[in-house]
Amino acid sequence: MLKRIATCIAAFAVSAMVGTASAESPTKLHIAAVLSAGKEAPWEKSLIDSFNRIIAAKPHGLEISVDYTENVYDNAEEVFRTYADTGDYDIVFGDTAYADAIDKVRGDFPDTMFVMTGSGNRGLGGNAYWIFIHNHEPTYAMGVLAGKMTKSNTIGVISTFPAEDTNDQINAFIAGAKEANPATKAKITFIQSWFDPQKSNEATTAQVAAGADQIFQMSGAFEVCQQKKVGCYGNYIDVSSAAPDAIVASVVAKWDPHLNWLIDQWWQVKTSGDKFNTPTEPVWFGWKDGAGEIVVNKALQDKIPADAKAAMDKAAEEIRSGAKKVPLDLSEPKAD
Amino acid sequence: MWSDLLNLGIIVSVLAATIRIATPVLFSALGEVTAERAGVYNMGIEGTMLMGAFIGWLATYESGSSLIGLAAALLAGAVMSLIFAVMVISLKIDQIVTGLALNLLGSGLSTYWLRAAFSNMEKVPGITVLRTWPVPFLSDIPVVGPVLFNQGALTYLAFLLVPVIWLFLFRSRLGLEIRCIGENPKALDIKGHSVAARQYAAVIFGGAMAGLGGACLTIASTAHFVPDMVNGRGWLALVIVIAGGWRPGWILAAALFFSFLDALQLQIQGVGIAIPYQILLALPYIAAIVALMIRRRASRAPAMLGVSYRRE
Repeated sequence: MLKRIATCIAAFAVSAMVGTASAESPTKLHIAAVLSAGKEAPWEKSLIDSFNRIIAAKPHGLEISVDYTENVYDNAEEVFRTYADTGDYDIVFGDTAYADAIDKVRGDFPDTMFVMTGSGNRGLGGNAYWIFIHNHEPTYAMGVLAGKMTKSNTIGVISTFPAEDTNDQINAFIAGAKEANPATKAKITFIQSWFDPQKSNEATTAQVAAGADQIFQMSGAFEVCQQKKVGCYGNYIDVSSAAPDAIVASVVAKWDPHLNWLIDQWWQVKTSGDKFNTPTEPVWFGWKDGAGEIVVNKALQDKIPADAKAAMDKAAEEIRSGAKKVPLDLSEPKAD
Repeated sequence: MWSDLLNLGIIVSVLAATIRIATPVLFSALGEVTAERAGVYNMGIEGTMLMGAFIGWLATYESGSSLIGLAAALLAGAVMSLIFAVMVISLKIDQIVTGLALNLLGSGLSTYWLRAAFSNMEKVPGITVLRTWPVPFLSDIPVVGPVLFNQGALTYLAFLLVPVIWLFLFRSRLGLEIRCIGENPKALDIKGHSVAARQYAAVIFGGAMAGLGGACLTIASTAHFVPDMVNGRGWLALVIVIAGGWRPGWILAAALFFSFLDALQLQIQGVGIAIPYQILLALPYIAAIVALMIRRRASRAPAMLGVSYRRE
């Protein structure tokens, strides 16, 4: 009898403990997102779209909310510290090279997860998580399309600054175009500014004059593409509506696998009582994990030759299945 | 490789781009020289251009009319410089400090207003950009036609303003009075003419021109306003005024020279000539510093530039 009572008490105690544990599992996740540019910048827009999908998906049953601060650059440390100081935020997510700011703040808030993204950072470990968007795989397949589409055998790329997270895309786009059409020559222009639509348009004009007829416009100005009816390609978001008669396709960045990984890490720490301990290497996900996609402009898709579309689809299929490996080339690209 | 640059199509492309790139800085520099000839050094051109770019874009979007957008940009530039004028002409606050503050105001206000105006929208909308206006017959002339006569209306206006401003400053009574204020305001004051009224007029005209210069970057160039998109052009306009020796004709030459270097570096990258493009990007600024050093020796700056006029 005593044994049975003891068993009952033990069972009750265990169930009570389990009950306590589940009561302590987080039900809410509050994220502060520190953006380097405005919300409409393609890089930031792709992140916000991904956050919105994650909020709707409720991983681990979490009610997720995200607050944004835009145009943070010089005073980043203060912004991170202010968010962490409130104690209301579980993750402070910085969407660019914020390693210096995070390094100064992270030690004071060991229970907060800090995130930095892309090039220009250094691995800090501990509670400073580093994720990277590498969209070279879908960009390679988009390059295959451009290589098939060019009539002048000349493609162009216009970008902001050479950096690891732009070089990877430029190299992949050119490699894809050359695979589809070995006669392809590539032109590359860096406008050396994050935001300068006029200069960006002038760079497009200059490349068109030099013979480029398929242009990967990574600096976000499509007016000349539209006026001159040159095939243009965009990145990070679907840019079709910016120049409906000119945009052929866009590679959309999807942060979903990155965000899910971060939330899983956070959840594991919060439910196990462990400390944050991230590797110092950046974490990134490939096309097969859903980290990007190609969106062909619907208004133009009937004008894309069937063999060009088929070549792109074939490359896409091979890359996603793992049959084809696209090298991650971070070196500064060179024009032909 | 270099021979690729000498292709006629490429030369035309570089020269036409030079004219387009010069347009916004030319407006701002012509406005600034008028203010500086009246002894007022408006360093707030960058922020004024930014407000012109933003308000011009916003008004074009709201009204659907580029003309209303341009009028709004003029007005925005005038209001920005009115704030500046009150502070430096009436309140005699330091011109440099006030100019810098005006830049911060333009940057902060335009970004804030952008967010406030479109906070409920998923995506900031775009406007229809002004088309080019080829001049009949003239635009058909080989080389000269596509370079000079296949441009936007604002470009023609900016270039027409060069002789207009010159005539005004050097051949009109009010122009003479304005230049007199820059050299010896007391002389005008003694004759019973208001120094402050003329300075206000010159500064507000300068601001309106900077507003128009900013509007070139949105209404005549791109569908969207992007925060801080003026990107140093206001500062370049200030350098151009100095490099041009405070004379409209030389200011045009300086604006064309700097724009040519910019157009050339874009084309050299576009053609794919393998020289470090960073040197090309630095060229306009190196040229600006050299121009300042050369002008330092024979400065034609108005004697009372930057000095508040006080009656004894």
